[in-house]
Amino acid sequence: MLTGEYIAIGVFALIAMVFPVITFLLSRLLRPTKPEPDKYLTYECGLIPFGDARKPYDVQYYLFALLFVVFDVEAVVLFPWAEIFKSFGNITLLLIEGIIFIVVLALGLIYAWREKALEWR
Amino acid sequence: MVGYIVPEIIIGAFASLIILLNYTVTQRKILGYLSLLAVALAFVSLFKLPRMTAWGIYAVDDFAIVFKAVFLTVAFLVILSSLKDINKREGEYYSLLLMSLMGMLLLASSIDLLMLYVALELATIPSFILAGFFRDKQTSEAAMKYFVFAVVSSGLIVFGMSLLYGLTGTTNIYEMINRLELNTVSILASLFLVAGFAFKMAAFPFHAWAPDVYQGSPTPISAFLSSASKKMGFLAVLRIFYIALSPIANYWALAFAILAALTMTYGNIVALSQTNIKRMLAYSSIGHAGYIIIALALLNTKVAIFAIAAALLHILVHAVMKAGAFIAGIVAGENIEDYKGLSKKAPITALMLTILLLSLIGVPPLAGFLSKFYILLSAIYAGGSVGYVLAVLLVVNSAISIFYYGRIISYMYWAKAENETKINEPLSVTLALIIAVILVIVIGLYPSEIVNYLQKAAESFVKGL
Amino acid sequence: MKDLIMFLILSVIAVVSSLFVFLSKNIFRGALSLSLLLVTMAMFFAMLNAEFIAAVQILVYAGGVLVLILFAIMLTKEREPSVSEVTTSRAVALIAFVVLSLFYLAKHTWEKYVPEKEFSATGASVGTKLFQTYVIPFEAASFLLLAAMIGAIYLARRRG
Repeated sequence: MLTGEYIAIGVFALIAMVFPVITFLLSRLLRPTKPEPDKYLTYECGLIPFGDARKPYDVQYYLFALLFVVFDVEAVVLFPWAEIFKSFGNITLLLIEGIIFIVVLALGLIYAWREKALEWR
Repeated sequence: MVGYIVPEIIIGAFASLIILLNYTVTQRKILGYLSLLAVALAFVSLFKLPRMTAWGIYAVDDFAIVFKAVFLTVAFLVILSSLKDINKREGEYYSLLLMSLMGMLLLASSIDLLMLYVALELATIPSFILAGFFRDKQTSEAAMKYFVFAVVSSGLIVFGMSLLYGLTGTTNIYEMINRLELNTVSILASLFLVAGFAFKMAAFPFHAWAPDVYQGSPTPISAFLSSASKKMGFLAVLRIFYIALSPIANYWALAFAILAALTMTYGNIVALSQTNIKRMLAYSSIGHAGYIIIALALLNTKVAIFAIAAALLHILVHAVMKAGAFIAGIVAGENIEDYKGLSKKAPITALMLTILLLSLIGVPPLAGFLSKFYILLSAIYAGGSVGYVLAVLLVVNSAISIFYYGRIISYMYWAKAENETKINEPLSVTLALIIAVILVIVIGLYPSEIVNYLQKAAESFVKGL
Repeated sequence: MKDLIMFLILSVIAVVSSLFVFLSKNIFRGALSLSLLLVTMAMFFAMLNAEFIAAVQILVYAGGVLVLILFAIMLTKEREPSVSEVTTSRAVALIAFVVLSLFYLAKHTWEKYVPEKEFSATGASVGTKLFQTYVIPFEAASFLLLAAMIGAIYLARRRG
């Protein structure tokens, strides 16, 4: 169990969560309160917002997110690949294994490219 | 060094090649021929495979070879029958088909839960896209339904597997035997796995997706799903349950007995009232799944090896018959009215379909009779109340099935069509049908050789390599 | 003791956030709550000496998959949430299920399944497994990702 080693991070996260709460509370106690309708607008100057934020997005955003996830996974598995490179017995084999993985995923990139999924329209 | 995995490498390499050539080849038909070549090469390489276990996760035994042969045969028929239908976007179609096939080939050899799960997903995910390939309302709906059900079943399977790993500390199914004990959690795990794989096999309470999906998908893909994808469920159940879960066999065998009885009765009775051929074939496919599950219910008896051989035979035969019957629909059409007077409109297709339907009924000496007979024999040999009840149900259901298969045959030969103009019978589709019919006849003619080999295969996987 | 307190705190966060995922009437908030659950899962992995898995959990799940879920939600039109009513019978069924499963799980002794030797899943140990024993599923996974990519682009591309 590693709780001990991670306690610092835990404390840090706790402080990060509590800090904004305390600042807001403090400023609420210290500042004068004079409510006015204009102060409740999203922007005090500029356009008055209209409509709803929940509008259907274009499917292209989704494709980009998907490509991101796929290559995220690729990057993640290449970390242990790099980490064991020195200690692994048969380096040629390890190299081939990694390259096959990258090449197969590169095919997907080529497909996305040729299908113009990378272009913004 | 990689001799044991040659078929998968061939399929994977061709899948990659096809997606690359998608943008350079102007003769689009070449992509289809290339994938046919890939399947043929992989099939030839099966004969040279060494029998071995690699890394303790991948076994090339006779059992795996049988399933690989089934998957490759079905894929060959499906690609052959797609040559006419798919005339744009061939690149995606054939490479996804080959990737799914690759997953199936890997699944056939998996003896490790992790390997098995990755292979299962590799086989399943491309088939969602293939089911919705035309992107119209009908196929998209089919793909959506298939996706939702398949993902839920995968979730159940993974949960069951994780419980098994928690109980035994290993993912290797042969090591699991000695470490698994009978307790609540192991029964819970086996229940999750039964439910998950029952979805894949389209057994009765979990069958709801199958008719809709087979009806909505492009016809060659319906053949692929019912003849290849569905067989993965049986394959995985045989591997996991008969080996890893054998210490608690009495519990899950009873579950399979109930599933078998419900599935075959439900499938055959509902098939009676269908007017869409693809839907009817889907329900008959559910019925046939019930016949195969009979063998799974007998795995805790003394005739287990014989039952496995019988199940393998029926899996092989049903895959060929059902693929052929779906493929005939490419020429003839989906509605039962289309089959009136088909013997005049498309004589070769009508003849081939008749032979396949006769085999599905179980008319001797065709292969369908043989495989059903062996399942019946194993149920009778097993004896006990379960064995006899299942045997009786099998006979009764076969009798029911005569009505709906027979109706198509009588429509084709004795009903009058409104217009009797000839339908074009494309060479590739006819060729696929002829191959299926030849297989059905040949298996029926040489039963003892094939059953002997299948029994050897069953023994090989029980012992482990 | 320290571990137990940590585990209890994390469990409470995990259970509450996962309840919120499907009880929340706003699907977007449900997805955000899911991210909290995924981060908590990462902490569980870290507590079990599986630091690499914890990092993957945060990078891929809390980072990538969640973005995918949020975009998938944003693709759809917002509709009136059709959250099913919590009826008495459903509540009773849920409580009975939870109590029974807790009962069985508590009765079951898990100690003997804890691996004897010190377990760890660092980058190196995962890498050795991934590139030696599990190299076949590893390469199969690359085809799995390729198929998912091709499929998504094929289905999402514009007509014509």
